[in-house]
Amino acid sequence: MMSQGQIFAAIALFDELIYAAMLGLITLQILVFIRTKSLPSHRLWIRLGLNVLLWLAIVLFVIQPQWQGRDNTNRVLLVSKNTPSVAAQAAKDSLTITEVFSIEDFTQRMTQNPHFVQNIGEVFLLGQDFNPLLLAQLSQKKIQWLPSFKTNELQDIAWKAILRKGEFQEVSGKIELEESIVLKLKYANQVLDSVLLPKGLQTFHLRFPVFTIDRTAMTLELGDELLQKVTFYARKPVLSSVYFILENPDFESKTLAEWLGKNGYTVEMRTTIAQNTQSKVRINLPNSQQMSNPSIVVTDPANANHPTLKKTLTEGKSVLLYNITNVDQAIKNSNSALGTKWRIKKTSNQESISVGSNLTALPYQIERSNNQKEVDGYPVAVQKVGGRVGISLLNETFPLKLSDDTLTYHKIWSSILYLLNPPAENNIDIEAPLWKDAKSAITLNNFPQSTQALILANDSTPLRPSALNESTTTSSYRFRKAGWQPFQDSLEVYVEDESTALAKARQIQEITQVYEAKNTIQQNTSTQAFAQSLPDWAWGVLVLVCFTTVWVEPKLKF
Amino acid sequence: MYSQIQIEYLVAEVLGMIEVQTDTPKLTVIQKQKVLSLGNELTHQVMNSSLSDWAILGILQKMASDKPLSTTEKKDLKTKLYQLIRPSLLDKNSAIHSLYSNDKKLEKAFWKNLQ
Repeated sequence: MMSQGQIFAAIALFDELIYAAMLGLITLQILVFIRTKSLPSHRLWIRLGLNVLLWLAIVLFVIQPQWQGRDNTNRVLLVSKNTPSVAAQAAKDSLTITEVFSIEDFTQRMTQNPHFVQNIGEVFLLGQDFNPLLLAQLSQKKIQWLPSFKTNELQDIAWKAILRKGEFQEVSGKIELEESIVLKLKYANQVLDSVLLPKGLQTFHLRFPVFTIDRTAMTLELGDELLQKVTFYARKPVLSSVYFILENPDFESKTLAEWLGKNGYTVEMRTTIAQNTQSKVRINLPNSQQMSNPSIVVTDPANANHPTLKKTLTEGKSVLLYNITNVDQAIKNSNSALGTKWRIKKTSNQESISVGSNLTALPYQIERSNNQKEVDGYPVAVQKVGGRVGISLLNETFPLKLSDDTLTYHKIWSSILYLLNPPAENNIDIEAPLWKDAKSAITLNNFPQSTQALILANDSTPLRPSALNESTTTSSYRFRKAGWQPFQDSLEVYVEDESTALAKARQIQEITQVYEAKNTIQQNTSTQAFAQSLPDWAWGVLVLVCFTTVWVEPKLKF
Repeated sequence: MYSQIQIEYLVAEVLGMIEVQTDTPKLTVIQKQKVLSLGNELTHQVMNSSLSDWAILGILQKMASDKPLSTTEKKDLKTKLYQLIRPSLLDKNSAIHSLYSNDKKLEKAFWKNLQ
């Protein structure tokens, strides 16, 4: 290791060598000059001039003269690495900015002139590859960020970080495409959802029902190229309790109750067999336990006035009306007793219409309404009136089961129950991807009132009640480690490493938002002076030209 | 014998285990039992299907004995298990349904006044 003194001594020695070389050069020039004889005087003068020029160029190169320049730094454009010059030119022209800096150039100016940044007005950042240190030095400035993405590169993406099995995972984002191409969401070799995107800037939206429990990883592929890994955590599904109120036992209800039981639902069925005689059937429910607050009450419309239904709906739970024979009467009962606004239209004069093999429905159509959702392909709809009220115009569905078409049966009833499921407890809403060292928003809904803090990643974060929704609390957390991080007692979230263009974009977005909120005063400095000097290539050209002329001149005979 | 619904749940759990096993190679006793019982269950189904499905049983056995699976094995297992439960999954065009709870009074007032 050399000591500091030694380094300085070495530099001084280096300088001395340069001066010695310059001295050597001028002696050489003079010697050559003296030895030249018998030249016309005008040639002599030219040769002298050229030699002086050469010597001056070299002396100036060694001295590196600087002069003061003035530049309009009210608005400057700072271009990140890996940004095409076409994009920089386009931004410069459209924003009418005169001063464009590369990151290296900008950092150099900062070290030369401590007031350089201070005197700048507004900074426009182009691209996303800026280091946080540089951005920190611009913290007092008004910053505008202009993203610059390549084609076929993700510009934005979002999905849910935690959700339950059976819920829909939705992956949406933005991308600019060179040509029309298929975007696929794949699980191993299996395509779950895909879309053919045309050329240009496109947004996409893919969805699929979650079919796993615990950690899950999918891939988003553009053509055959991996675009993004979609990693999320699937929770166990919520299983509701279903309560049947029946006037008389029937096969349809029995089949449905059995299917619900097999699906893991808690079921209780009360049937009036004769006056003052009720039969009770319970599935997945111990005899000692009473079913309190069922999530879904299933009954026929004749029971629409039953007090249990009203209570269920006030609590925000759901009611399903089925086994309907007289549609007009059923609609009337439901609308008056439960506050629904069903409107129906008779579609046929036949007694029933076919809606699939072994499946018929009443010849009516439920008209669409704002607070209503329909089960795709079947005359079944659910309206929201505080709680949810569902109505099914299907005739018996059990023949499907008898004819061994259990799949259709399963699809119909899981679609109906999916729409009827009342709000669940302990809902978690986190937008993925979560980036390491970036702020992540966490929303909790319908957690126990006493929950004050959230335990995650071996840390805890305080929860703030939401101003808009009293059952919701929010928090903001910065994950410091990438990979799977514990969340609450048994769940996990996946935190991505910050290396992609998208991660950097997210980081800049966050920083510029913070600065924007903080810096409202705009400075009015218009111009500032700073040192300018010739770039290295210009020196090279200059010295080379001088040497060439000195060499060429004696060879010319004139 | 399990019902289709129970198999679906078992498959869901095993799919999660494949992912977990990448980081923490040892499965718990209960997890191993689940993998084995899925294997047993699939044996009945595989009896009358194509030969390629037999490979899945081998991979499940390997998984239950804490042996790390290769990338291709994981891919094959995931793909096959997904194909097994795909018919019972909800249709992709199903309506979006929120499981969020809100202020019930406000919610009721909103839907009432919307019409």
